[in-house]
Amino acid sequence: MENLLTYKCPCCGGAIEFDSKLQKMKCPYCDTEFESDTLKAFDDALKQGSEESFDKAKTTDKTWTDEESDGLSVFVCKSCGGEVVAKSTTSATFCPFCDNPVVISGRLSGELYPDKVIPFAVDKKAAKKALSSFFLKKRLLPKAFKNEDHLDEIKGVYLPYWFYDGDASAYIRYDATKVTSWSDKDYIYTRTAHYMLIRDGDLSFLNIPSDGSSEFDDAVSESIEPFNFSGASDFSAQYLSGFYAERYDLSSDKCIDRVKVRMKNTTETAIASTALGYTTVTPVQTSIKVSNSEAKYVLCPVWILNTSWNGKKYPFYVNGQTGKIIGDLPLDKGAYWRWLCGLTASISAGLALVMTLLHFLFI
Amino acid sequence: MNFTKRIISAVLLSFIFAALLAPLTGLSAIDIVDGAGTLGRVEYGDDGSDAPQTDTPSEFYGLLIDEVGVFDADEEKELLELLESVGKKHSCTVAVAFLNSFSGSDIVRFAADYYEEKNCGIGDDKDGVLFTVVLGTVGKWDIRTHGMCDSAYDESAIDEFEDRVITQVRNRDYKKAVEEYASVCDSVFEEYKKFPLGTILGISLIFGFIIAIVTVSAMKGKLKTIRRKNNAADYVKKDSLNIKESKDIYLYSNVTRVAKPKESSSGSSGGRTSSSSGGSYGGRSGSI
Repeated sequence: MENLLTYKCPCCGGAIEFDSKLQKMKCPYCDTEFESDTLKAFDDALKQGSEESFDKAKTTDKTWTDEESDGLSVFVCKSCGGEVVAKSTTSATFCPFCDNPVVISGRLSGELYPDKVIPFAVDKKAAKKALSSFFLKKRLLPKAFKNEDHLDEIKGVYLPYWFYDGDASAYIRYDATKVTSWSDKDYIYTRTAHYMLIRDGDLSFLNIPSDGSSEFDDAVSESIEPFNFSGASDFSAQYLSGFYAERYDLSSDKCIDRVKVRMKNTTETAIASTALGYTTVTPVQTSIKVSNSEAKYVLCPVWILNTSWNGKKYPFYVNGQTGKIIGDLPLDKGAYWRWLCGLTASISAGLALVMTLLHFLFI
Repeated sequence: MNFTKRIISAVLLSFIFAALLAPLTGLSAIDIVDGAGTLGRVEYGDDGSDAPQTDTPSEFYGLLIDEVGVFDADEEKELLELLESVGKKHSCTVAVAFLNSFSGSDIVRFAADYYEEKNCGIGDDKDGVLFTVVLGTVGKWDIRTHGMCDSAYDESAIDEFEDRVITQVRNRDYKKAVEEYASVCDSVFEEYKKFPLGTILGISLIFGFIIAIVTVSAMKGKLKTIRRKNNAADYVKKDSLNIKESKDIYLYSNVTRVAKPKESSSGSSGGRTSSSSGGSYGGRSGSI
């Protein structure tokens, strides 16, 4: 059973949201702050599952096509009665009519109940500032892109991640050589000594994240790392109020393969670093076994800033815990060629001047 | 005092008197003569600015030593003037020596010491070149360079020297050999001192472009920050690397050798040498 939850301020009735600076719930209307215990009752109801029925939207004359309606659900906002349309993976959103934050309880209960949540530590203002700072010192960025305000939308989203602990056990055999040379009056000698190196070792990993959403680009979810698991708290739905949230649609079994590849690469590098003092070291046999413990389902904070310029979309992502910002920027081709020609001319002129001076000094 | 000693003393006194008074009289040059032939010429300018300013003629532009007697007096004078003109043009000593024998077993070392013994070289770096030919049963030649001449005479220049000069020596046309020697030195030093505009422009443009493209590529790379992470180094548990087994097993060795180039019976061998006093010389030697 799915319910829309809206955390209402007991003082003024406004919708309260999680404040990333205070790390507690706060009413933006009357500035009243609430401790997490105060809202614990809501969370207990979530875990057990509610028996209350929910109001489904009434049917209208217009009907969705199968494709359009696939994965969509419609709810009624308890604040204003408006229809809230949400994807099947959305677990927190805003009412499009009254802009109140809503949490879809059914998407966070039972199996879908997150183990942990990393709360937002970076607020919206800081995310915008990070975007401005990101443009600094980017000499090939078009000036118009830097100067114009073309931020279309900024939203804080809790994205679903699986966090894995794991152990890698590696057995690697290498061919290695040591080369020395010397000479006498008549010959130059080169001695090549060949070795076989065997390394058998273990390496442990903690909390490797892998995003559990098929919609979110894996390159983005890996670039926005790292997330520090020590900053995670036990999940409570109050953290989601005021933000968007998505639930996973890729199970932990489906996400583990990528994590295993990363663990293997790191293990190979770590083991190879123990083969010291050789001219060449070449792996000839590699056997790495990866075992992992149960994955933890964690919601991680990300600010998504959608911008557009010259008809193209340029999304930027800010790690809501560390403030790290990523995103691809447009290239100013004119600036690229100006810099290339200018640098070539100035460096060539400098080199020519130095060579001319040396010529007249020594010849 | 007997008559012979009086004549010799008079000659020596005349020479000393002329050498002391030559700058005052505007005398342009004197010949230094010894019993074996013409050693060379020292030139004094009107204000002494374009000539070595020494009380004794210790530096000279040209030197011709003919112990074997392959040249007559006129040829000696003509060839010496030729060598001096090249030497003066390039501010160095251009010397040639035709000998019957040399001391020691290595002509390379001998030639370096001979260069210093004859006080060849102009300026602080003692710029000069000495071409030595030992005729007779020995049959060897050597060219030694020092200072600016060492830098100018690279491998291709020495190849040209060997091709043009030694060929004449082998043909026993020694006058032609010395003329070719003077001509090769002139062209080599001319080429060396020529301002290499094309080379400088080419090298500076190529390196300038390479540095620029690397810099601009790095600037362009800053615009793309979305990349997959292929490792999990940020999540390695601290101090968890545990090497259970580590074996380094020696298998075998192999040794290869490459022979250093040697002087063949009719060929030449290049290379640098040092004189007995430690001076560094370039050049090449060979058999006639």
